This record gives sequence, C-alpha cells and structure tokens, in this order.
Amino acid sequence: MGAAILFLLGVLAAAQAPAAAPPPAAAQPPATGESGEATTRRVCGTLCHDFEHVITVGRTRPQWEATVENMIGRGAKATSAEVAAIVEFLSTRHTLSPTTIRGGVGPADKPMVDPKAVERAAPLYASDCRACHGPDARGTSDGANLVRSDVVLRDRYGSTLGPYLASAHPRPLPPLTGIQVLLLSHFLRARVNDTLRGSPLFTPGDVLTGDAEAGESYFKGEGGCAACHSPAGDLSAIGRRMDPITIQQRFLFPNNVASRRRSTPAPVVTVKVTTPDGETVSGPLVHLDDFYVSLRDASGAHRTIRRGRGVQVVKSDPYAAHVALLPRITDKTMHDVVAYLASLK
Amino acid sequence: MIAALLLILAVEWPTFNGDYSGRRFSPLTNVNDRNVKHLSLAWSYRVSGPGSAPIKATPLQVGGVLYFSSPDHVWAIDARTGREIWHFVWQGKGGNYIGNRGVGIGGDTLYVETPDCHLVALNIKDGRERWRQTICDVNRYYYSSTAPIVIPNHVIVGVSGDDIDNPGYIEARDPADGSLQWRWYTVPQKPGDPGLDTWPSLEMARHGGGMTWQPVTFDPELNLIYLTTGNPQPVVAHVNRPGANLFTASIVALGADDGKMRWYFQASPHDTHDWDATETAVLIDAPLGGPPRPSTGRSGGRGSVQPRKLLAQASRNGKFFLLDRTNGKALLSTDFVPTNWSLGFDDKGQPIPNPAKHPQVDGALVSPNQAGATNWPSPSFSPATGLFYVSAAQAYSVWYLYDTGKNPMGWGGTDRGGWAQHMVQAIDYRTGKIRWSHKWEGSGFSGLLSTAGNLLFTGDGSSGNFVALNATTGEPLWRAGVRTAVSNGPITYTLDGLQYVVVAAGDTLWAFVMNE
Repeated sequence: MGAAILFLLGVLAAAQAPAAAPPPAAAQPPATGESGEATTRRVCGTLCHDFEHVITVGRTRPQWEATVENMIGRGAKATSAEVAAIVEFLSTRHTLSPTTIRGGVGPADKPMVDPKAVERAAPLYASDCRACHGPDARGTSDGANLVRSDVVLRDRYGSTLGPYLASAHPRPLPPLTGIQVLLLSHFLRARVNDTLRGSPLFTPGDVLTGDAEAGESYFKGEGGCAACHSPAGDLSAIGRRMDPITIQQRFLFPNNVASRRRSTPAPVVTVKVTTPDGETVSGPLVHLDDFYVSLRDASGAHRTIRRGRGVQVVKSDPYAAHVALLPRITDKTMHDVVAYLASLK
Repeated sequence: MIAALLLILAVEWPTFNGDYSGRRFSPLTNVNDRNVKHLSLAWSYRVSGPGSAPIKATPLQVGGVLYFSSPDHVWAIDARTGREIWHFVWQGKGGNYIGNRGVGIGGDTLYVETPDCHLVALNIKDGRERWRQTICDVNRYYYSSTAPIVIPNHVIVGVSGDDIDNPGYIEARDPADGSLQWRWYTVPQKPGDPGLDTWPSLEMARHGGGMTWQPVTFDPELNLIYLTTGNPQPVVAHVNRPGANLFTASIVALGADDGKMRWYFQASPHDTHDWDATETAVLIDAPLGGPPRPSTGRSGGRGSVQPRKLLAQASRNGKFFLLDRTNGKALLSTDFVPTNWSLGFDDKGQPIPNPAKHPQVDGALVSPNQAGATNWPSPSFSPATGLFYVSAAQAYSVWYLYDTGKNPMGWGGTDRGGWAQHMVQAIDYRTGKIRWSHKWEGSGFSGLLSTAGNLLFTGDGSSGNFVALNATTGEPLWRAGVRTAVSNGPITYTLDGLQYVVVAAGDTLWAFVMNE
C-alpha cells in the first residue's frame, strides 16, 4: 500500500513542486528522541482534550488507527512519523487485553471489560438470558433492554448485578456462583460498550457498490485524474494493494496524514515568496500565518519573511486537485471511482 | 438589567459570555484598531498537573480576580498580576474529562460543574466548598462540562454525554443551597408531552438524547432563557427514530422561573451527523430592515429604525438562523459556509435533511464533517459593525453506517477522514450575507471577542497565534505567539484605567495590556 501512495505522491509532487526541493524531512524536523507517550501527549493531549481522555478506552490496533485518522480529519496536526508513533504507543499500551480489566480509582473509575470473561460468559448468556433479553441484550417483548438497564449501568464486576439476579429478577433464576455473576457482568458491559463510539463492532460494510466502467470514464474524463495518475503506472494493481475503503479515503483525502503509510514521506507543500524589492525565494513551506512565512530556501537554510505590503506569497499544494474534487464529486461518482480503482488488480 | 451589566462589562467579565446576551462584545475602546499594535504582554499563568490542559473555560473577572476551571479544578488568580490566590481541587470519581467551560458567580459564591456530575459551590474569597449537589448520574455516562449561568434566583445548569441513549435536561438550582427548582427534559418523558409525535414511541423519546452542553443566554425583560440542545440518540444509526426528534438539535425558549417551554425552533431536524445545535443563541437588540447602518461606527450602531428582539445562531450544521426571540419565528435561514446535506428550508425556516446524505453503508460524502461548520467555541456579535462573527470551517468527511440492524443504540456509525478549511465568517445579521471571510492556514476553532475599538480577537488555530483583526474588514492587525491553538473565548476588562485582554491557549492563560 505504501508503494502505491508513494507513487501517487511522487507523480503529484513532480508535477507541481520544483525539482530542487530538498527531502520533506527538512520541512518538518522529525521528533527525535521523543517517546511514543510524549508524542501522544503533545499531539493528542493539548488542543481538544487532555491525555487522560485519550486513553480512557482500550482499543485494538485497527481501532486506534481509525481513531487517529479521524482525529487528523478533525484538525489534529502530526507528521506521518508522529502518527505512526502515536498508533504504536496506543496499540501497545492501551489495547484491549485481559491485563486492562480493571479501571482505576477516583477519576479513573471506569468499568473495564475482559474479553476472555466475555467469551466464557457467552454460553451462559445464551442458555439462561438470551431468549428473553435478545442476542445483543437490547431486549425483546419478553425481557428488558439490558443495555439501558440501571442495574447493569451501575454494576461494577457484579456489585449490583449479583444481588439483583439473586433476589429481584422478575422470574426466579437458578442460583449463580460468584464467578458466573462476574462473567455475566463483563458480558453485559461488553454489550453496552458495543453501542459506544469506537465500539469494536463498528466496522465499515461493503463500500464496493459503484459501477467500475462509469468510474473509469470519470477517471479519464471529467475527473481529470489521468492528468497525474495512470492505471498502468502509479495505480498499477492498486485493487490488490489497498482495500476498497482505504482507496475511498485516500483518493478523497490524500492530505489526511493518517491515511498514509508510515513509509511514505509527507507531501511537500511549496511556497514562492516575492519581496517588495523583487527578490524571489521558494522552497518547502515550514510555517505560514497572516504575519510570517517560513520556508527552506534553495540552499536548505531556514528563512522567515514578514508578510506585509508588497510581499507576495504563492502556495503550491500537491493535493490541490483532490481538494477541488470535494465540492464537485457526487456520491455515485465517488462509488464508481472506488469500484474502478478496486478493479485494477 | 442589561444596561447594568453593560456598565459592569466595562470593568469586569461577570458571566460566561460577559453579559447575558451571548454577544461577547465589549464597549471598551482603550485598545482599538489604531493602537492594537502596541498591545503587550502583562503576564502569563501556566497551570500544571492532571486536568490542566487545555483550558477551555472562559475566565470570569469579578473584583479584580479571575476565576476559571478545568475538569476537577478551579483557580482564582489576580487579574492584574497573574498570581495565584487559591486553587480548588475536586476529588473526582469517574466521568468524562474532555473539558470544562467555566464557572458561574453570584454574590460571593462560585458555582462549578464536575466530570462526575456534581454542582459544587465555593466561597470566592478562599475557594472553600460551601455545598455540593448531584445533578446527573455518572453511571449512565452523563457528565458535566458546561458553565453554570447565574440569573436572578436561579443557577442554570446543563448536562453532557452522548455515549449511550439518555435524555438531556436542564435544571434551575437554588443559588443558596443548590436544591432543585425545576428540570426541563429536552425530549418527551411521558404520554402527552409535547414533541412525542416526532418520535416512533415513548421509549425511543425517553432515551432520545439532546444534551445541554452550552451555557444559556437570558433576556431579563422577557424573563426567558434560551437553551440550545444536542444531537438525538442513537447518534448516527437512526432507523429506529424516524421523525424530527424534538426537541433535540433545537433552540428552545424557557420561562426562567417555571422552566416551561414558550417556543422552539429546530436547527437540525432528525440530525444524523452529531451536529447538535448547541452553539450559543446570541441575543441581538437591533433594527431589522431599514437603511443599512454605518459599518465603521463606534457609537454602538444606533439605527433610525426601532430595535427588535432578535436571536441569531450560526449552527454546527452550517446554517445561520435569525429568529424573533419573542416567539421563535424564523426571519432568516441561510448557509454561512457551503453545505451539501439539505434540500432547502421548510415553511418554518428549518433545514430539510437530504436522505441521501444520511450516513450510508458505502459512505456519503458530507459537508460539514462531524466537527461541524462551527462548534462550541463562542461566536460574537458587534452592534458597532452589525456583524455576527463565527469561527467556521468548510469541511468534508465520509459518513458510514455501521449498525444496520433494526434497533441500533448508542452510535452505530461515524465519519472518517476529512478535510477542512478553517476561517472566520463575518455575517451581516440582517441578510445572512458574508461581509468578509478570513481564512486560516492552521486548523481548529477558537472563541471570538469583538470590541467597540473595532477589533475582533481570536486564535488562528494550530498556527498558534492569538490575533486581532479589524472588525470591519477582517484585516489582521496584531498577533502574539501563544505556542498552541487558542482554546477558549478571549475576554477583556479594565483595571486601574488599563484595558486587559485575556485568552487561554493549551495549559496557559495569557494576559495582554495596553500600557499608558
């Protein structure tokens, strides 16, 4: 997958960036020596929420990848290397595993789920509870919705569930052992968690619903994709190298750094600055705001120029053509293009 | 009352939005478009330790002291020097720590909400706790993050949390002891409740969401509070809640003393994109129609036409609404950034969602994205320029439906990826036309403050500057590098004849002053 996007970037960059551009690393120095935790704290734990909020819920690696990608889409700023470090840290240290079955105390008091306990509880739930409460514990005409049950929501590892099942359940139940109650507690908490954002159940369905032929015509015609890309070149066998949803995300949002592979260098946004006395400086953009523009000049030196009267700043974004698609492309065409690219096996 | 607050606003910042109107407009002119380039650092105050970042709270300034909060923490610091006076730490027991918008003050009592669902009253002199009351159930994934608003005889408190399917509500509490005076649920709770016909069943309505994340605005003359409500539940998968889902994603007028609904306007009927409609309902007293008013005036914009009681909202879904706040009738509905999810407006001025742009299994490309065309950071309205300012984004993402069952709960889908161009939009409140638009290189939303000095203060997102723009033209006039994105709404006040401007960025509060 990395090779494909590398190609894609290379073609775009070659089309729009000056040949003299130094490697992109010059534009944004790598965060050397920083731990994954420190990177995560810095990138994810300042602007929108604090670090403790980030690690509230354990997730699997694909879930963490999707979560981080989402955050980038909402404005989190990170290089590809930083994204990789963040995903690595979170997937390693804040994964869903039996070692994280208990929440902390005080502010960290959150009910946790042990997947092994859920697995062990499944036969018990199936035999004793499922008929009335349904396969997902969301209730039937014969039994309450347990996902919305205060008994379940207030429960911590059997604390309210045990007494309730022993003496308050509408139908008398055969006695359960303490272990069985604990297992059911984990099982029901897992059913609650199934409904939360970031739920392990929430995975994309089939996005391959378009018409590949129509997608090909758009690619070669109106979409203007063929100006930079070729099915025999950079996109060769892309349908084998990427799954359809990745294709969908990357062709729409290639500038979302989380959607790139870590081996892929960041795209080079370049800038050309003309000063009032006619001097022209151009190179990879380091920083741009209303008051200053910073770049690496042809010699590789860092230059910052104060913006003001007579200073012209022209930015070249290698992804400009992709951004320009967003207001124009219809959902049908989006699906068609995905179908076409996915067919390039 | 409003006049009195305006007078106070020259020297203090006594409530979340400065005054009850939500305008975040200051009459101060010591700092203005001609001299702002000389605005300089007075002090900075960096908080450290757990719960310290980012500071989303708007500080209150009362009696020369700034009071602000983050989850489980309240600080009092000297507004002249930035030195800490006291620091209160709440011993939390769970809940969500995503943020805290600030405190409320009445007399010598400070009110703050905690992540674990408490309303806590402190003595403003020493930060000692006076009492605590539980306002929601943390086990049901509620939490508290909003700033209490103190109005005569009531503390108005909202609740947060859209993880599982709970009803939202807002409460009035007794300022003396925190006892419950009234509670208004944002979704029907029993047979016969208004809005029930917009839900398939009472069961769905009772769990229908509509959290009250945003501090309310208040019109003392009408004795109405203006509440803005959150998204319906389940959030994204929506097959089991056909209908408009009242009163989620709505602007609602409630009697301040009885908590009874007077009118509503639904900004996002049948929301499926987590857009809420919780952006501030800004109260504007200004003429509508008549000759255009001077755009550069500093007089407060007296027009020749009788002022009307208006209410404006730039909503997260990208729509700008101007209502008559006496009755909720829409006077204007329009887009403040381009959007692609609606099929025009109905006869009440409410957007009509395009079913094709609901989240789909194979994805729907929707603008705006989940973060929205704007979000909670405060907008501002300047009576001097007649412009409504909003921190905005033109944003796209692909929305996926994950739970395709007949009875989804919680979320059941989300958006992925995305692209956004952040900007400030300056909207003519009478026409909805964009007078000027200033795009940022950085990303992220920041709160706004306009002043009679023809200035608009805000942040330029991830570029990490606190900036002043010319309020009439949008021209950038001044900046200070504050290391990270501005994370709250700026405030301004005068002490010893000096005008201060205070803003938070990440874990630091920065104060700037115009020295003599």
